[in-house]
Amino acid sequence: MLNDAVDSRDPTVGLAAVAALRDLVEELEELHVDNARQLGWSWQAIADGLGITRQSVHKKHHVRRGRRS
Amino acid sequence: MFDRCDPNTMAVVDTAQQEARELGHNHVGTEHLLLALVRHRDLLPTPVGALLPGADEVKNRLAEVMGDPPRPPDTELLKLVGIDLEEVRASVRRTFGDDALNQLGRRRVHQPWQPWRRPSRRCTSLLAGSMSAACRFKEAFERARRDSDRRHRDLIDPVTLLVGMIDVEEAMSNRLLRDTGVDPDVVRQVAREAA
Repeated sequence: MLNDAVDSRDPTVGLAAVAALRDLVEELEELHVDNARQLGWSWQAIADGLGITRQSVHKKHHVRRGRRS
Repeated sequence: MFDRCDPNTMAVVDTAQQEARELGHNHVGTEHLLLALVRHRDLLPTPVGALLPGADEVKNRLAEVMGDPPRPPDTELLKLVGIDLEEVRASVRRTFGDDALNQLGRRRVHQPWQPWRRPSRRCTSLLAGSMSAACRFKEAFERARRDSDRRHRDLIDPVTLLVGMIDVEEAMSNRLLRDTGVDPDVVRQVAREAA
């Protein structure tokens, strides 16, 4: 039913799709960052891998991981 | 979570999930549970059922609170931008194992630190699957279970679930009740007397 209603030129749908995609990226990032930490990677190395600053990685993931290591 | 529910309560749960699906929500929460209990008021003691607001009233109020029209399910949305969510899930499962996915499902997804983003309404994981139960929904069942234990009952009946839901102070259902002019405390009291 929704299949027929979905029209990507409709901004409501298009924007919601982008939001869902962003949420998906966030989840994948969490998985991969956690994996890297478990393998002993430093925050700097993870930041380099993601192409963002160490501060942003730290702020985003260190807090999320409950400040455990 | 549902193993202690009696058949009537299971019917309520099924309706709650159906309500969530119809509204295009990706989680089932206390707002859907309230809608389901309102629709199944015949399963509650009569004085309690009489106190509850009408289903349409609750639905209208919920739409106002949510503030925007329902959107297509995430799988459909992602398909639009060329992503097959099932494929992504399968690949995550291959890389990190089932445990990683289950863990995502179990905890609340963290709101990333991004000051320019509004807090997301998503409180369940995209990857973990569709229709996860919201934390307060689970808490309502947990409270109902403890209440049943206290009264030495094996199974949770709908009215016990209703009281469990009201006991979750910050639940959306309590807000909806108040917004529709019903005092949750009064409902609880009448329910306790009728039980």
